Amino acid sequence: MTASGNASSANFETYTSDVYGWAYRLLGRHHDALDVVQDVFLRWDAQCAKHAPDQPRPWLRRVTLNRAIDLRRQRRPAVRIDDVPHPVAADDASASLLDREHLRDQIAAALDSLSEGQRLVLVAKVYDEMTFATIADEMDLAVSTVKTHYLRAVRALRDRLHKGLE
Amino acid sequence: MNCEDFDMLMADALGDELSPDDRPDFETHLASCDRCREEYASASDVIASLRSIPGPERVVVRREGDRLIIQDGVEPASSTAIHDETTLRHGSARWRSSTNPTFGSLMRYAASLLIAFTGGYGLHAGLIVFGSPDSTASTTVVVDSPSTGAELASLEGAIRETHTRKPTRSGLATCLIAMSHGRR
Repeated sequence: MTASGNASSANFETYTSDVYGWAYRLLGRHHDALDVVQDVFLRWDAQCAKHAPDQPRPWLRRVTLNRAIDLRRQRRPAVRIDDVPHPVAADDASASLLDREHLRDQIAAALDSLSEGQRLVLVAKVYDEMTFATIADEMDLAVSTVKTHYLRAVRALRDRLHKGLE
Repeated sequence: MNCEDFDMLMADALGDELSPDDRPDFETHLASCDRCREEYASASDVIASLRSIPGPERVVVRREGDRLIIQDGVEPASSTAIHDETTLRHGSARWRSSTNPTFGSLMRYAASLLIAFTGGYGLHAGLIVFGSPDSTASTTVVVDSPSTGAELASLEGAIRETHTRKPTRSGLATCLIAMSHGRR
């Protein structure tokens, strides 16, 4: 193993919980998320062999979300949000769990439909709890642009989620 | 304030970043504009829905040599079980047990058979598999011999091809046929 390989893996370890978390939010399954961690790690290693990303976290967030969406599309091909059937459960506890999984499916389908910029801003804001200013700095965008992405993402999600619930 | 200007304040409010200075303007417009009030309420619901999806357990990943070791928090806190231990050697075999559960089970079964049939393949003790062949439970896999990685990749291809030709064949039959092809 090269010295750069060691350095890149050391850096990657700093972000693995984030990578796993982003993938898990979209996929909802432990082993699917671990698959994404593996894939992203390989891409990270390959990228570092050429040129280490100046800003690792946004690079990893983008690659992870794209990979998770690809994996989701492979697993659930061509399912539109309004085609996701609402599951039926026998008891309240199961119903609650199925409702949550149904909501996760709908949210994942809605996230899939956003532009990359909107999706990255939304995940950074809602799940990573970053400020608009920090997101703008990471993504090299104006704060007003980040806010616009955020609002458009929320509106698009609302429209799709409402459509799915009708 | 018009509705367009209000958008930036609404983004701040939805992002929990509305400043005390802007709050009076925000609330004044919200009280006077039905459309923006409905917009804000529905957008708040979306954010709440997003946040209601539970996050994952924490995982710890470390690299040891050619291995990427992933420890998760699925087990009780006292457990130190390693759930996935995967070789990440570029261009060589990768253990992808969850990509296709059926195929993953077959691979696990094949790995067990590989140990039993090491004489035929001339493998050294470099592959260790814990877990029953049909179990979907977490597995620890250690592949620490480069030649074993190549053998596993070759076997994976043979099993995949055999499985694709006749998916209804039993796991044992698929593995044995694939291995039989490998010996030729």
